[in-house]
Amino acid sequence: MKPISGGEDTFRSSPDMSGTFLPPRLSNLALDGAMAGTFLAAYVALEWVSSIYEYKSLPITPWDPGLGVLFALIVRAGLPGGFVLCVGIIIAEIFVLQSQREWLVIIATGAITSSSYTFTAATARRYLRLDVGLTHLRDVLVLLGAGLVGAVIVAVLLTPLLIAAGQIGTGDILAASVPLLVGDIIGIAVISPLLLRFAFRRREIALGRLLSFAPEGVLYVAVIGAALWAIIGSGGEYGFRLFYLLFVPVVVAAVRHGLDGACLSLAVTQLGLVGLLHLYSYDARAFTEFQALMLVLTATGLIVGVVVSERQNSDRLVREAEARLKEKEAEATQAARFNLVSGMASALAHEINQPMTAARALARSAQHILRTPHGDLMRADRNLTTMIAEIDHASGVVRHMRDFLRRGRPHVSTVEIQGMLEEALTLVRAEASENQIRIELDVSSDLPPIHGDRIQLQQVVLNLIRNAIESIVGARQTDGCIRVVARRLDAPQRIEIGVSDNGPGVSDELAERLFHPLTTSKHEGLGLGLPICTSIVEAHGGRVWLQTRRAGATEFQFSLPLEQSRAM
Amino acid sequence: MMAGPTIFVIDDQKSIRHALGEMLGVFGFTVETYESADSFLRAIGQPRGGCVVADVRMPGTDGIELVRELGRRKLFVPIMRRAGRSKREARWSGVRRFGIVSTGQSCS
Repeated sequence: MKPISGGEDTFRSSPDMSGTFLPPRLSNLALDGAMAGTFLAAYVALEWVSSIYEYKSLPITPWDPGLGVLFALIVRAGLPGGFVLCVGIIIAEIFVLQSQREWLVIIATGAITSSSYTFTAATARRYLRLDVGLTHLRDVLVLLGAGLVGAVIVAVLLTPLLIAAGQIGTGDILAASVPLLVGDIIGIAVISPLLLRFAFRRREIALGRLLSFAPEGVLYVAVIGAALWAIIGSGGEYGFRLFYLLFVPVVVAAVRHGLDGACLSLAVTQLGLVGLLHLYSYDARAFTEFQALMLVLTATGLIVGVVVSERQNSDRLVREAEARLKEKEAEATQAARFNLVSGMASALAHEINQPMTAARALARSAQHILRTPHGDLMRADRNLTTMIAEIDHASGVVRHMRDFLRRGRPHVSTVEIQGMLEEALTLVRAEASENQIRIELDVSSDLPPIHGDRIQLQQVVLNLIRNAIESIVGARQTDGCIRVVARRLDAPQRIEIGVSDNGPGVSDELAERLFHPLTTSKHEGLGLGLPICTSIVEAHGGRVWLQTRRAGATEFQFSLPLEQSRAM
Repeated sequence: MMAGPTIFVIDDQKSIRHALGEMLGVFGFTVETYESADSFLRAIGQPRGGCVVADVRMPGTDGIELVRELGRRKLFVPIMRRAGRSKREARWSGVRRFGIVSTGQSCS
């Protein structure tokens, strides 16, 4: 179906089908020509395949798949599709059906049929805003309605023409037009949605995904085949009563795979039905009756399918929105980490510089000892050992900083509280000592490890400590002290971590809106700190609160439940 | 060695204190280390030959305060500072006022 996708853009440029078929550029012209030719060939071939019965030289095809194909084209492309249908009908009349009618009647038949369908399709798209992707129930109903109205108009207009041409008598009207009507409608109902869903939509159908459906597809075909065999094989009246069997595979396919499943299973059913009816030489009357039943099945399958598709679609949209939200949250958390670290950048640089200074002094002394004859090698060795420890310290700070700024998804692991807190403190200690603030860590020894995101938990602790530092510095205190305490508590089993400072406290006004985004008491900073802490802690199943807020004893606490039944 | 002038290393960071003391010791100086300016001021009673290598930012009496205090006590101990972290500290007035040599980053 390659030419179709090639021509799609040209057709899209005039979706309203106002009747002016703008001459496309030359390259597109060739593609359009190829596509029109393909459709024409498909139509004529399908007419040839499906021309089974004749009634007084009228082709009484109890189903017209060719019309279904071209109706889809007309709905998609508008007027050019109508031309293709007109030409197709004339060619089929002359060459396939070898009709003995007059030229005028043949041309009139083609013109009436194609203009009727073009008119209804244009109305459906323009005034009823038919979405050719058939994403909603309404679209399927409008499409079927347009096909039905088109078929009725054709029947109403063609019958007088044929009577006038002397082809049928007035007594034959019902016998001739009802099968024609049913055949046209069933052709449109089964084939047009299938084509609109599969051929005209530019989407990638992955081979692997298709193959994964293969076993299920085989099962449907087998069930449909068995049901058809039971219906047709049992013969006559009894077969009609078994027709409901076909509802099972079609509805199951529709429920499982939406409109696509419905379209495919209906096409399989229809093909099988027509083939078997032909094989068992059913007459045109029985054929038409089966087709009427098939029409009910088609309508049911399509409606169930589109409703399921709609549901799946909205589920997918919700999931996508959730995923986007999660991504944004992760980005915001990441941004806040960068913000935290960049605020401490000079202190962190010092924290790395300091051990380097010490290491250099130790290296110089070791070098001096080694250059001195009979130098104290033990002393040089001690110096080098201390130097290694200093370098390890500096690289530890760098490593923690890098881990802390690491991009990526939240990573849940077993977190040992003491280690987690000590690591967090290596990042903030320099900032604290620069401002002459002491940091004390008090972790009780009975803390079990918890499941959580180590980096995010460190982010919470760092954020609270940074806030405390800024509060103390803002008050120009020189005796600043921050205590980080972790305790185990019962009922419910949880760990509570508190960060307290002897700063100026939190004002009433600030306390009220502290946890809302974009609140800040600082001049700089995004004010995102506490809301992000809250979302991190809540993701761990705990909560954050302001325990005390008076001057000299401000304490923020957060809890982490020990039974982590909640998935993060 | 003991008769020579003493270098007083004052730094609140133990690692720096230790490393500087060790290096200066290996190079043959007599070194005394103090963790704060206050403990240094308590320990030093009368003028002694030597010089001070001090950090600027320290808890309690900081480097700048220390220079002023030594000036008040007429303890004209030459002072070498370790590099400050800001331009304000780099242009530390005390250094110029006492006409003291300021060394680079790491006193090597």
